[in-house]
Amino acid sequence: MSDIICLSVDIINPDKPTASLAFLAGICEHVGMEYGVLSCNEQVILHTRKHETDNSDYNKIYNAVKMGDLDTIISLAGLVMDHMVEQIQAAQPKYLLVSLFSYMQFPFARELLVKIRSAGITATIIAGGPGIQSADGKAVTNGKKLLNDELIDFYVLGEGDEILPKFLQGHRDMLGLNSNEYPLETWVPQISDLENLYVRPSYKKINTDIYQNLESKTKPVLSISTSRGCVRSCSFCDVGKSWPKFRFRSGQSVAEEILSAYRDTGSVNFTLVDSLINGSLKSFNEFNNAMVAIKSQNPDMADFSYNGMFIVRDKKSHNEDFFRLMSQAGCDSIAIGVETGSERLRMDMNKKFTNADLDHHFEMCSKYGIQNALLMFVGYPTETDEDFQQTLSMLEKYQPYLIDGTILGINFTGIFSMLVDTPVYDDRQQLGIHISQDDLAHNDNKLKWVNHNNPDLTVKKRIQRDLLFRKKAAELRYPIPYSRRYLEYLAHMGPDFVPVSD
Amino acid sequence: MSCMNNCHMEPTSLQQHDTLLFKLRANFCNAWPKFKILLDQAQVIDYQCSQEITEINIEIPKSAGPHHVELHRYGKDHQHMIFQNDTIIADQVLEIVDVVVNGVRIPEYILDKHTRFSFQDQTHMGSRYFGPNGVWSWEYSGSLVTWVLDQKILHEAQYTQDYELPWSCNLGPDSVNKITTEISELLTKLENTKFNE
Repeated sequence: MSDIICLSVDIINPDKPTASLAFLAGICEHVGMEYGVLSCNEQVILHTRKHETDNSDYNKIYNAVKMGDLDTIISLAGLVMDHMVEQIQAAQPKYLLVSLFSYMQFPFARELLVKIRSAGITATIIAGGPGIQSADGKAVTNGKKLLNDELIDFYVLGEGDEILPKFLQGHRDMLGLNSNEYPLETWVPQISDLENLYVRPSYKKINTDIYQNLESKTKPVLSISTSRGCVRSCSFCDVGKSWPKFRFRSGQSVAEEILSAYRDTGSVNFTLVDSLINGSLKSFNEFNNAMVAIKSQNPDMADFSYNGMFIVRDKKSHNEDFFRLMSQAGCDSIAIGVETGSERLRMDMNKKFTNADLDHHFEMCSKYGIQNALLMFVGYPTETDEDFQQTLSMLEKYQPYLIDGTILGINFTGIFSMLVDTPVYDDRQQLGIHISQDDLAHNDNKLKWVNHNNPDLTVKKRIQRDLLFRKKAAELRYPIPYSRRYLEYLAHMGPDFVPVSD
Repeated sequence: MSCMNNCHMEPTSLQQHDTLLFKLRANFCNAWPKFKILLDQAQVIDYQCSQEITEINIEIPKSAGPHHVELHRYGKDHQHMIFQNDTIIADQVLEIVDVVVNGVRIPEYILDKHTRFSFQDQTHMGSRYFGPNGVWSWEYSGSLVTWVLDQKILHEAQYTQDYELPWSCNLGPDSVNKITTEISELLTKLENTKFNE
């Protein structure tokens, strides 16, 4: 029996454990309560994987989750859910802490919670995470919907570091903790003192060995968070909704957490799950210097490596010494939001770096052995044919960087999806973007939009650009992970198809 | 293994040529080495080194079909080697140190496998050190960068697992053709789909 079961609804990728479960586990250890962990992602992997590299059944479930196809979800994963319910029943927990990774997980989560309630499980259920915070066009959060349906007892909007421990200690009257007792929905005020209030995640009870480890490391790759929020305000991004201000931990404390996680698990490879790892140049340089020192003091950590999302800046801000230090510290790969080959369009998105900045970035990364995954998509509301041609030209221009691994591949999310609570959504009227009233009622961000100032950018055109991009990428030999399942998804196109990014 | 030959797809190119750079090291012995570079049997460079390290750029057109790059080392004779007691104590030598395409170094394992140096009746695969006069040659097909990437994929497929790539050597020799055909079919379906917009 456990006091708590931590449950993450996190069917995203089969390659690494999600940080959310480790976060909940860390909370439980912080308050000194017995707990168990249950990951939907892990359960789906275990039930579907026939061979180490065969993710075809996993991908079918992922696509069903992505499309909100409940019938297919139940058909493919119903037994997985039943098994999870049995495990929760056996544990007889007092609390069930549920984390939803994203809005896409909502149908799966809802169905699972229906089964949990139907099984007569009496645990107090509290839910949180981005998927709970996600709201439809009428500003009704998923948390509110689950509460109204009596599938949960509480939900948290915002950061859980402070509120969850207090909740587990019996406190109920807190901003951000929502229940039927408090009709007005509130958010947790963003934590300012991240350095001291941050709860260190725990991987002690998480089964990391089943993950595929795409980086081909010998030990599982663990996730760590060094900051929250972002220093940019990219027009398509909703991070600013959850974290209006950028807050970061000191580089030294991050390095100490890494050392601690290494001592717990033996892992020397980490993913920094921040929106960006170099938001604070001061803290980032401090972290890199600290890791250089730790590595020299701990010879067993010589193979330490980290990766994360990274913003490109100009040559002055990211000079050669900056890249040299990153490499010495152990940065082996980064994901950069290139988005498009069109500098004009990138500026529309508020990305704030030029093509010349990108040239310098790749030159330095090539020199210091730092690999890059390019984050890209097509179909932004102001994207023109010329912008798209510049994107294809950029693929040609940087193709040689595939040779030395400076470019690993493209994390191509496909076609732009309009999310509520993003700058482009908020500015839609000024931009000439129209979204139908019916679509505004949807909770799944499948917003059908049209830009009256760019009427050629129809749904058909967007899908066409997606396919032309993928074709070009294949011809030029750019790896695009998970492309197979996205092509299977696109095969569902029909008159009312609204493409959703991956 | 040439499985990638069947799946080689020529990208619809927006840029017309690649730049190939040879970084060469030369030894002086009564004179500096001379060499010519030929591309598809046409001479593009005739050069005599004047210092230890030389960098030579040539433009390689992006065109379909097989291509030959040759470096002819010539002009060396008995004056360019000094013997003492039957031991060579000075020698005029030319060496290819690096081959770089569009600013990115081509991995040695690719050059080791796909280039050769021939002189008199000898051929040495992968040799890039030219003592005698001879011909260093390299054959590839289509766009140079894409060809290099295919060789890289073939090489790495021996050591790493694939993960969800839509094409790769492990998926089959015709995998690039298959994926681009599939995409073309989706494009046709798209053309025939009327969306409610």
